[in-house]
Amino acid sequence: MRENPFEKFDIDPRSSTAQITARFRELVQDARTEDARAVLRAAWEELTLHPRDRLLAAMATFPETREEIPLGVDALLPNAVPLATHDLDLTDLLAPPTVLSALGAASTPADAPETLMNDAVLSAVLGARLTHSGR
Amino acid sequence: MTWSPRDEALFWRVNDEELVNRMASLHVGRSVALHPRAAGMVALMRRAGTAKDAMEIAMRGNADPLLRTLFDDRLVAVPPAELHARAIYFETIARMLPVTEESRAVEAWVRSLAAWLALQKERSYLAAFAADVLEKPTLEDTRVAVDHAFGVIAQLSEEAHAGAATFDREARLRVLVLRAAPRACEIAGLSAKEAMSVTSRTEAALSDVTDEALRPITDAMETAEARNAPPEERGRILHRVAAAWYFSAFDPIAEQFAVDRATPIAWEIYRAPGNQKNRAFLEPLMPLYDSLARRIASDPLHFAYAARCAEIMLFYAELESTLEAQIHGVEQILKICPTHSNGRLVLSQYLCTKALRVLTGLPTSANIAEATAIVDRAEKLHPETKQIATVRARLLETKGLGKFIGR
Repeated sequence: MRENPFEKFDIDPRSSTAQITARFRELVQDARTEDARAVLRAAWEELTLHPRDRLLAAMATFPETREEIPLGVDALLPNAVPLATHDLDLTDLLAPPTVLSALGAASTPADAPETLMNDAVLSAVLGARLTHSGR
Repeated sequence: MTWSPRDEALFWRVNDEELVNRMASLHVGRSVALHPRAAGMVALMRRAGTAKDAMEIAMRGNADPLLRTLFDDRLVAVPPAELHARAIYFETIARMLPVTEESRAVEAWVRSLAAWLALQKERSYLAAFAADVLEKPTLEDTRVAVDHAFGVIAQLSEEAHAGAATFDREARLRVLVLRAAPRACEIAGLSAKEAMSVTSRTEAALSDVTDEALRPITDAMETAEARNAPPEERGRILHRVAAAWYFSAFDPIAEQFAVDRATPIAWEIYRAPGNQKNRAFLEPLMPLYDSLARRIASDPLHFAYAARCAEIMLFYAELESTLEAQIHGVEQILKICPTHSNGRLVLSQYLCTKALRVLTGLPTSANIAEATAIVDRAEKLHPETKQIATVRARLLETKGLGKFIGR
């Protein structure tokens, strides 16, 4: 028996097509092999291209009946960018170019490990946000 | 630091996850973790205030009373969202249980199916659910949600069909669930008409599954017949029907198949010298014939098979080792087919033999009365039986002897 895609990929069955696509985009970025990406593409197609398949899969998983968790301080950050603002399509599942390659290898000190915390662009964005929120 | 509404909500979410996993682990018999959304089922029960005591006991570590609350005999009062969650919960558990836990797995499947069937009547919930999932559901989409219970039956049927030819144990489990559909309908609180629309589907599916289980036997029999295989070999092929019968959860189709296919083989063996081989041939199939005989005796729908079933059982009755067992066997046969000519003749002959045995003892009036009653019955069953005249003559002799010795 095939695992339910809503459970397998931890997606709320009430999610919109855009939200589902955004979740799969995250998963595709994390996928290590082409086979894994193919599985993700097939699941994305099932949930987004065929409404009836999506409904059947949603029926066959636990409905979301837990209480909503009230928003915490993290969500109160200003200028929060929505995950997706328009209907997404298959091309949105392509892994985007990395920040590192956009900046060029020279922008990272040769002896520094490649982590998110020393990413120049990310540091600049976070710095600006923290300054704006007075933290 | 204060206890915020967010902290409260997070606490209950973790609590509910813990409880549902405790229930599931107890249910399955090993530690299992369900999808976090399964906690919503406990959240619904908690918010509705149902099973409050059981929930408190579960929070202290014993989930058994809480688990028992899911086993209602009637689902009519259960709200639709909880029905939905229960349907998924029980199906998840059924799929987690090993095939060796057959009765518990079947029970979980039946509970799941019952919840789906009860949910089928909750049209508003299902329409709202379809609208939640799809931005603009069509009428046809809503119909898919409403008919989901039938989709579950179709899925079970498909899984049963897929393993039928190899008598797969998982597939047999699905067969047992489909056979239990009337009980699921009862738990769901369906009307007779609603239940009929469910059982007509499950019965049709079960017939297909039994046909599929019998198909390899039919093919093998046809191949053996085409090359004129001896009856013993064809008999061994036919013995596999007993396994198909068990797989099909004792489907009368398998019993009828065994009758139809066995009769020509039994005649061939009967006519050959040393017809005792019919015992070895028929013995593995006798449970099927006994079952069919019981059906014929209790349900007129099966009466069309009365004569055929009687004929095949007669072969076996004749091979019983004692006269009493032979008489008992043929008596049973005549119960299902009182007009069976061969059966009446054979029983009449056995009764004559029995009467002669009675008359070999002392010529008492009791013995004479018993033998007279027996031969009268033999004559009533089949007046042309040759031994009747012999018994009558012996009776006259014995009566004369009795008078002579004054008994």
